[in-house]
Amino acid sequence: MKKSERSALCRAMEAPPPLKKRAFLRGLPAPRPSLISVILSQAGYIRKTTWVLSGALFALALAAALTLPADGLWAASALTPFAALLAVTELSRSRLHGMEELELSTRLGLRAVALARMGLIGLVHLALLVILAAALPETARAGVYLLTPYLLTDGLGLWAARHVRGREAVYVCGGAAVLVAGLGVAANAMEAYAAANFRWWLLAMVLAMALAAAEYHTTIQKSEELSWNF
Amino acid sequence: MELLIDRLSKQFGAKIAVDRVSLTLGPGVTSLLGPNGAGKTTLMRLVCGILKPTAGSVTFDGADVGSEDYRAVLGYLPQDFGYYPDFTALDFLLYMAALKGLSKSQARRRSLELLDTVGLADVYKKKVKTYSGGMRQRLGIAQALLNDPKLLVLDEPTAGLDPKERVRFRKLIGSLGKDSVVLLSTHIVSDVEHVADRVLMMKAGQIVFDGPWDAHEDLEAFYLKQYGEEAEHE
Amino acid sequence: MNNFGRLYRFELKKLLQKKMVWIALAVLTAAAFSLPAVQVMGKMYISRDATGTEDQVYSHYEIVQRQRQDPAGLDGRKLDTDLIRETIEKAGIISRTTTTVIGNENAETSVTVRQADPDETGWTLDGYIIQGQYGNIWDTLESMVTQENMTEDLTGEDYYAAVDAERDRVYQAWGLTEEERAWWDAQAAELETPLTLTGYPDGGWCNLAETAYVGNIFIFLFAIIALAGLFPMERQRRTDALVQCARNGGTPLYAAKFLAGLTVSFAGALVITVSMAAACLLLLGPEDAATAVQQLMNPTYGAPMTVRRLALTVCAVYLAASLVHAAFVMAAGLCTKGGTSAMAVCFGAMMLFIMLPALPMSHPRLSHVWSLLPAVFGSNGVVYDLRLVHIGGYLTNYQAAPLLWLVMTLALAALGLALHRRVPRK
Repeated sequence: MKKSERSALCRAMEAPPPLKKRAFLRGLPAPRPSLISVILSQAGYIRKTTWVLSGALFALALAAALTLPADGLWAASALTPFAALLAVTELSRSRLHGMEELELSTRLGLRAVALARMGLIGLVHLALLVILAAALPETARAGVYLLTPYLLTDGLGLWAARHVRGREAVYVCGGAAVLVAGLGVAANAMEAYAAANFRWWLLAMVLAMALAAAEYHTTIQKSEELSWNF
Repeated sequence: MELLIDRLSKQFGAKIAVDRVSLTLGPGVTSLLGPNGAGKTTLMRLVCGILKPTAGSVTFDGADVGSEDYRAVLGYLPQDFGYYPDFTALDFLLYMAALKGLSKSQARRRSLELLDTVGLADVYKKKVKTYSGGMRQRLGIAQALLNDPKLLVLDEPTAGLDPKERVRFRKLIGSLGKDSVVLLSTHIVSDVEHVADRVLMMKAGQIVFDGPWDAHEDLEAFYLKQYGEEAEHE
Repeated sequence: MNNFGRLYRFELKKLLQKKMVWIALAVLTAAAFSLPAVQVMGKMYISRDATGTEDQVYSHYEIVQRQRQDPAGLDGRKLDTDLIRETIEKAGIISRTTTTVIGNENAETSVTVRQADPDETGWTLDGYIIQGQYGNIWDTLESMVTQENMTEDLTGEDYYAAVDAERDRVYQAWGLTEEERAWWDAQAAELETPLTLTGYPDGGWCNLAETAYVGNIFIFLFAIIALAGLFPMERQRRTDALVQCARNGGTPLYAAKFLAGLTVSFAGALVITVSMAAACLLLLGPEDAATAVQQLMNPTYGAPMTVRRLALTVCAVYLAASLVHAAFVMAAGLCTKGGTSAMAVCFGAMMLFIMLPALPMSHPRLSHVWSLLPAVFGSNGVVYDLRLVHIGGYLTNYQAAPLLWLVMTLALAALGLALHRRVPRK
């Protein structure tokens, strides 16, 4: 048959309706989404406000570090808890907005969502902290001063987000951030940033790291099941 | 197509919320009735895999409740669910579709189709926070159907819907029940009368009645009798 | 009936039921206690090169306890020619070096003086402390007398003349008017000359006076954490509709909430202040109570003032500041309608005040008002700012600040009421 005749026949004749189309489609195994696609899809759902505010905070801290020779270090250190607050509220969004139950029952599950968010935000914040530390004198020491309040706020915030229901959890996380940041400001008045006191900062960083790691682990574990006691 | 619940139990501290429930559900609509605190929502959450049982198992066509294969065929509407306030209805469905593993094109096509089915086609670009309770409930029903589930679990699905919307919903559930397992919990007896093939009644974590509905003329009287209430009917 | 009393008690109960309030209070109280406590922690070697054997190691607590006993016997001595000569002999070797800038015809002579190492008493605990006691007097002399005049022939009259000259210079630097100078001169006429010293000037009262400003930061932090969500929480918990349609849901409820907020802030401030004071006085001792501020802090301060009176004054002033802090935070909550955003705004404001403790003197009035703001007040030391406020007569800053804060609190209360009663359009 000529091609033109075939195409004319196709146009003239109506295709018969599909039989058992739904049953056929249902019987096909659903393709498994790859890890990259899961991470990329979650990247699109992290609020733009989170990225903008994170950038603004770090820009402010960087400006303080570069323009205030005497106060730059403690000012930058006092701002990092608020970056941690942004991370915690983004990680806890499912719980804060009552979406836990729905997300738990989906194919990917809440665990995958939580891991993807943690990985994405954690990586970006780590990169920003490294840049900030590099802008300060004695980069390695500055890194400790920046990481300690960040990790402490992370740990306290994740704990609060699991124990306080609803929107009030954001307020409690905010309180933790303000408390940690405020203590950092007071620490400056006590000359805690002097080199002689660095070993105490190292100890504090190790403890904060342990707290944050424990809270991240617990958060991931708890994301496999709905917490019933509310 | 079979949902197998085998000696399922859930204990919270000293309280036994679900007590050795065993059921086999095939295609059709099964309605779960019971007073507040009977354990209906807990049972549904166990079936959806969002609570871990103290004992027993739940499988669907051989797939364990904790497996991805099980969740791939599951659609769930909780009794009380939240939403991300800045999402539009379409955003919400696309997000849920992403979580359910649908491709982008599939997600969009299915979302628009379901928004039309539940009567939200005119308002899908508006933010969910502006919706009334009934509109949010319809959106919840739509997200439960995104992945064309073989197992559909609906907890109080008609709460907040007006009578016209309830009729529409019953027709939808009735059609879905033809080739899916539908487990539906409700307090509205007329919903059960019109749509359920099978009725389960639950009390203190146990199933106290399991049978087809049409064996009894007055379901409400029967329900009240099951729970020790003398019915006064007009 | 507006049931104000009952409403106030309920609002107080709601605030005190929040765990976060208690956790914040506990952490800040502990931090306030640790401020002086760090001074008695740790150990040091008393030796020439800061190393040595075990019997040369002393804890800072031991050193402080021995300092309290005044081993040099300076308590009650007058800062006169005899003591000045004694100080120069024990704590000051005067050496002079002359440097000439090559090619500069008018070469300048640079005079340097340095303190001596202990020689008679050696490196013992008492020797170290006695050296320190005379060293404090040496520092006081050195802060007033020019290097050219720091000679073995320095007399008491020379020193007090130098203080008067420096005082005049300070008056000029602060831009004081003739009337203000006359007022300070009248106060200075009551100063005891020569000054009677105490043997342990840097004790608990002095430390309390100097660290009270950090305590003020803690008080502000407590107000932020406890009160930022007081008003926005009604909206978040969706009780605002219920409350606002009630008969007493307007002004009576606002007044009850506002007063409960002030109460909690003041109570928290009291706990923090008492904690800091207890640490100072218990660990560092109260023996410096009668020390004149002119001995250790500011020799040019033109009025009689002991460190105890100064410490009690600044503590009382910061307790008053807790009320303005509370009013500011509550108003921020009503403006921003969110607890977290109110926290962010208040913390940002606090950071701004800390990083900007003073405005340039080219804008004298603005600079003076800025220095009286509750989060800034005292950051540079209460006895260093000699500006006066003219209300009827003259008031010092620590007398005028609470009056200003009363006005601010009332203004913030009025603003808050207007915001609370505003009916939203959507």
